[in-house]
Amino acid sequence: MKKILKDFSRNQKEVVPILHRVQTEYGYIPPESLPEIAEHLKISESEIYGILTFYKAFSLVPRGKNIVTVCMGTACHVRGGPQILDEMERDLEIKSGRTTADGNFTLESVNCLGCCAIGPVVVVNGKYYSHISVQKVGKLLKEYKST
Amino acid sequence: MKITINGKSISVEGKRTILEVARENGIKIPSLCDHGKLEHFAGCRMCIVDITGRKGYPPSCSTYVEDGMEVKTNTPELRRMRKQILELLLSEHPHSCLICEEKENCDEYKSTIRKVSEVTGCVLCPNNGRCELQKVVEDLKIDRVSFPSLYRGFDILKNDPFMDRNYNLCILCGRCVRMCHEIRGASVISFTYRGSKAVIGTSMDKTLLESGCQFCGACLDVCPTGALMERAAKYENEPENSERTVCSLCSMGCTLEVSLSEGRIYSTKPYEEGLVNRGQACVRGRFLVRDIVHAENRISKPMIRKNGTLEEVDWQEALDFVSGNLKKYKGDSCGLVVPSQASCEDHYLFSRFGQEALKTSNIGNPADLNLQACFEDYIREKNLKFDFNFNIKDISNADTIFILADDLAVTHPMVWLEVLAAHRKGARLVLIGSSPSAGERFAVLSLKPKAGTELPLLQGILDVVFEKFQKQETAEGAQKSMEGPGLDQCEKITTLKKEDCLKAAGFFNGKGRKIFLVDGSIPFLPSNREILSVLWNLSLLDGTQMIVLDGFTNSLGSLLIYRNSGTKIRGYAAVLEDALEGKLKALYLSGPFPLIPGEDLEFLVVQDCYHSAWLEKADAVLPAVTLFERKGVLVNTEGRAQKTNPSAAISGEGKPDWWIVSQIAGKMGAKGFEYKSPSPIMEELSRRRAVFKDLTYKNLAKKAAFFLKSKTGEQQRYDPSGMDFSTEEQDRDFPLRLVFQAVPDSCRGFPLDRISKSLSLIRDSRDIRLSKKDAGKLKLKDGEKVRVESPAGSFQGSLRISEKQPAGLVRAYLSLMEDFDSSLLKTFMTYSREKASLRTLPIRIKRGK
Repeated sequence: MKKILKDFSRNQKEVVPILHRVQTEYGYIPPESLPEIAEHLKISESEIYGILTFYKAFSLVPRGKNIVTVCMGTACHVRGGPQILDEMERDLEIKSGRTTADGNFTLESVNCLGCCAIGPVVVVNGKYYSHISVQKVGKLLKEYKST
Repeated sequence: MKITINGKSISVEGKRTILEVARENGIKIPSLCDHGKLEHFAGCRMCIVDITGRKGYPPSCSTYVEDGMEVKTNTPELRRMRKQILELLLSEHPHSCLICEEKENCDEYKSTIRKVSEVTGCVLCPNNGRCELQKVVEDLKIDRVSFPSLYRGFDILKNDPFMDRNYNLCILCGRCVRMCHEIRGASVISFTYRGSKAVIGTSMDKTLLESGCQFCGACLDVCPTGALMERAAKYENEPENSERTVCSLCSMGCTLEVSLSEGRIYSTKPYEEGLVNRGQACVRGRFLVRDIVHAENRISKPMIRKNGTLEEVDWQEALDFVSGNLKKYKGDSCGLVVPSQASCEDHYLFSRFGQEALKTSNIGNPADLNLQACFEDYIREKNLKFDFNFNIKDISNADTIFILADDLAVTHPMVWLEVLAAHRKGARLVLIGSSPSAGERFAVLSLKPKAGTELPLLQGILDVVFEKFQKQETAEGAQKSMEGPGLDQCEKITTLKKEDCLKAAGFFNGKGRKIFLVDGSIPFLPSNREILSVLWNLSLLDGTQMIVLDGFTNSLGSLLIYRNSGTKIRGYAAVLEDALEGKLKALYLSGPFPLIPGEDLEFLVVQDCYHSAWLEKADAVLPAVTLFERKGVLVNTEGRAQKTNPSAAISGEGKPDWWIVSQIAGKMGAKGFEYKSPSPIMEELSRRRAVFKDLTYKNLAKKAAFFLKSKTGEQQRYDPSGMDFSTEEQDRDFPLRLVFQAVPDSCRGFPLDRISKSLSLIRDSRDIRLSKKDAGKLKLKDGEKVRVESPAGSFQGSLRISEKQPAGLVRAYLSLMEDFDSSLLKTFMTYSREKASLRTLPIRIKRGK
């Protein structure tokens, strides 16, 4: 943590960049890091907590090895986004927002990724898969199950 | 400039919002999130208006008026939109009662039904009738909510002291968050989550207590709904009436509004127009007054000891018994200890009682132990020109503020709020002291020297300032006869970096208005005098205003009464010394005093409000009343005189101190004690003591603000004095250092955590705070009973492990109450007299029984 904070100034606007960095380093935001960030930026812990619960990009619990994100934006929604998410939940046996028991997958949904033209979109570990259908879900996940 | 609102032409000066101008001119605009003390938020959108030539409907609370503006506040279109916005708000707030036709009947006949925990409608809501949302619904005449209603289903949070939080009722106006952030500087709560899931919460959804909340109650007072409720007042009947009085629980003198129900205190709230507090309070004034006045352990009747047991008697018998016995003792064999919280009238009569009836110089005022008393001594002795008075509002206009204090937010909350206000305006804060403080994140520089090395640090800073000053102008008489430790030595002693000391000195040399705040409630030790002397010189050289804050309620007033009495008064430490040496034969206790064996005591009178261990030894017990139940004049930390008013029915047969003392003095044959009310006492005091000139009930009622004339001395000179900076060697047997703090919450010396369990969760006067590192080394757990041993003596308490506490340093409260080791107190005083250090003592900690 100390090493991370060293790279950032004490300006309060650094809060989001710091959280991003912590999220990348640890895979999530460890609750113990809040007091340290608060002290560095001279703001209160609750202010940081407010910010990190606002953004979906931050998680307070450890996340899986593979992050699966299903788009629920308007365009993806009308083309079957919810059904894709349902299928994912069935396949992985977890609810959206949770991580599988073996820690291999975290399933999430977002409300638009901005690439509506290629929807329905699923993102796995930052890699975009376009025109996904319910039938394609099994195959897609299988690819990551083996790794 | 001129604007028109609804066709009415209004002339406006300065930068004002439309909402402010409209309200001043009697034009009603509904609003829920706006609050006069807070920044504009424009969250509820209820106050939208129509401005000719402007697109859309801007919120009037955050739109400033411009010349020639034409505003409409009540068009059919605006009404329609407001209604819809309110309906949206109500769809997430239990509202069935709001639109129910039976509401009036229900309010009248189902008054107790609200003792349910889930609130699903107004009749079940503890805030029913006081709710701002209700009023807005009434104003807008809502009769149906066209959106499906949603009960958010949050758990009701009841695990905190004093208050419950039910966020199912919250409308997210953000007033509590903004209050906590902007005015109180605590930022314990924030908006968390987002959109439909948004809710007010703490970091990691911990309890308020775990999040470091100090329970000032400010969030509660601005909440427009029943989301935040004071637990104790939640299920009470509506208050019948209210009284305004001055809080007597610390030296701030906040004005409180006390609401009463059947003669009992229902709740206390800060008065919006209070001269000192302006709508703010702290945990003491907001939540503790009711508990203090209606405490179970109040002494309710006079008692005298008959055949070994205390028996209740009437006042006449008790007064005859006490005066008859006291007559037997002459001179200094009789000791008098006066209350730590009493009015000027009481203190004046106590001083006369001691001198004219008991004829003793052994009068002990607990305020004698404060740093403030030490400073008063110092400037009096040296005939230095100093004004104890200041105006609390001036603090917020400072450019640089230095603070030497334990925790101002706790000891002097209103001063702290002014410091925060200054910080918001861009002032720099410099904290000096080894103890951790809540305000650290606001400081540009926080100097934490090794425990007990504040003096060499300040001297080091003074040396730097002095050198610069000498270069600028060779002032007459200001010769450097004070030899400081030098910066290198300073660095070595204090373990602080040289640059930091130079930086601090730079702030002293800086321009602008500078204020040095010293917490006068720090227990006085003889070596603190040197610190005060250094501060005096510092403030003299660079023009910093030095403010020595009051110790506790009316301690400045009491000091000025006893010390200007014309005859010698030996003071608290001398009374304690005499008592321990067995020189006292009779003791009249009306204030806090450590429990001593007292085998030589022949006659003991206790005149107090609460039961204590002293009662077992007392020959007579006289019930006194608190300052919330009677009239009296108090001088606050600014030197401002204010009058308290009886705000609750007197509990039991208690009497005011002035009455008891004047009755006994009269019966003992002393002349001039025939008083029927406190007003003539005040008049006499204003004639007899120059400082209190013109301070009478009449003048107090006439003037909006009354300040004492407490200027002293004539000289404004540099006052160097030789000092010893030799550091203390580490004692192998006693490796830790103990710092004493004054108990911040007490009523006549009685620690309030023993009356209120809720307060003891926040801070307990028996807490011994230790760093996590030291606790790990000693294998001690949080909450464990421990014994603190020192070369001077020992005492017990329970351990509280604190992450913020620096390693090697232990903090405890110096309570004058009965279970504090009195011999330790005495030895501590002599110990520190011999070795220069700021209130630290070498100790070790052992596990208790």
